[in-house]
Amino acid sequence: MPPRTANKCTANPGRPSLHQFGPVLSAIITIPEVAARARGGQRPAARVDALIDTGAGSTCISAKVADQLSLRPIGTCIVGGAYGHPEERNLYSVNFTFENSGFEFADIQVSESDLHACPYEMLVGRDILSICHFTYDGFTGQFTLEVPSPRSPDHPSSVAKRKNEIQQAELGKKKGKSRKRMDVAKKSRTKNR
Amino acid sequence: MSSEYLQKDKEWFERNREELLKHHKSRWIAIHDQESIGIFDSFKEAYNQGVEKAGSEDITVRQITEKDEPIETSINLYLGLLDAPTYS
Repeated sequence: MPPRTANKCTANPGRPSLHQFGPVLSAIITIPEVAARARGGQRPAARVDALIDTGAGSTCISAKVADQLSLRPIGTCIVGGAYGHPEERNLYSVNFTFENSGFEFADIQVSESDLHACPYEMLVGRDILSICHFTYDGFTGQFTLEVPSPRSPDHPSSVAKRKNEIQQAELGKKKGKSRKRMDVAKKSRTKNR
Repeated sequence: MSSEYLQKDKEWFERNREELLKHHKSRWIAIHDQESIGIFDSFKEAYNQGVEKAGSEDITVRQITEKDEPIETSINLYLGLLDAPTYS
C-alpha cells in the first residue's frame, strides 16, 4: 500500500489504486508537548498509515500505536457501531501531522480501536476533516487533502488576506488624516486672505 | 482496559456529576488523584492545564454532561469493511 502525502496526492501508475485501498496518507503521531515535558523531554513518534474515513465520526488509533508511544489514557468511552457491540475503550490525547503537510494537529482526543485486522493504524474521522478540504476523484484515482481548508480562517492565504486588509485600513486612516490636515491648512490660508 | 487512576477519577466524577452540572454544564474538567484540577472551556485547555498542574500524564479529562454518550468511530470498521480491501 503506498502511503501518500498531503497536500496534493496523486496515484502512481502501477501501484495499488485508490479504489483498492482508499485514501491513505502517511501520518506521524507524537505525544503532546505538555506530556513530553512531563516525561522530561522524551517525545516518541510513530509513523503510521492513516485512512481518511468519512464514515468515522471521530479519529481512532490502534492499541499497537498507543503501546508504542506509551500513551496514558485520559478517560474511557463507549464505542458503538451499527452492528457492533458497545465496548469500553481508552481515550488519549495526541499530536499528529500528515507527512509533508507542515500542519500539526495538536492535543487531539482520539479513541483506541481494534484495528488488528486492518491494514491501517489510524482512521482519520470527521472531527479532523471538519477543518480540511478533501476531494476524491475516483475516475483519475486521485485525492487531495488540504490542511487546513483554504476557506478556513487559519489557512495561510486567509491569514495573509486579513493582514493585507488591516494594512490597507491603516493606510486608509493615515491618508484620511493627512487629507484632513491639508483641508484645515487650506481653509486657514483662505481665511487669512 | 482502564487504569486504576481512571477508575478512581471516574468514581469521583460520578459522585460530583450533579453538582458540576449545576454550574458547569458542557465545560471540560481535568481530574487528578480524585480532585478537580480545574474547569475549562475546551478539551485542549483542560488537557494542557491538567498535565501542567498535575505534573503527570495520569489525569482524567472529560466533558461535564448529563450522561455518557457512546462515541461514533468508524461505521466501516464495525461492518468489517476495512478488514479486507477489495481487489478488482
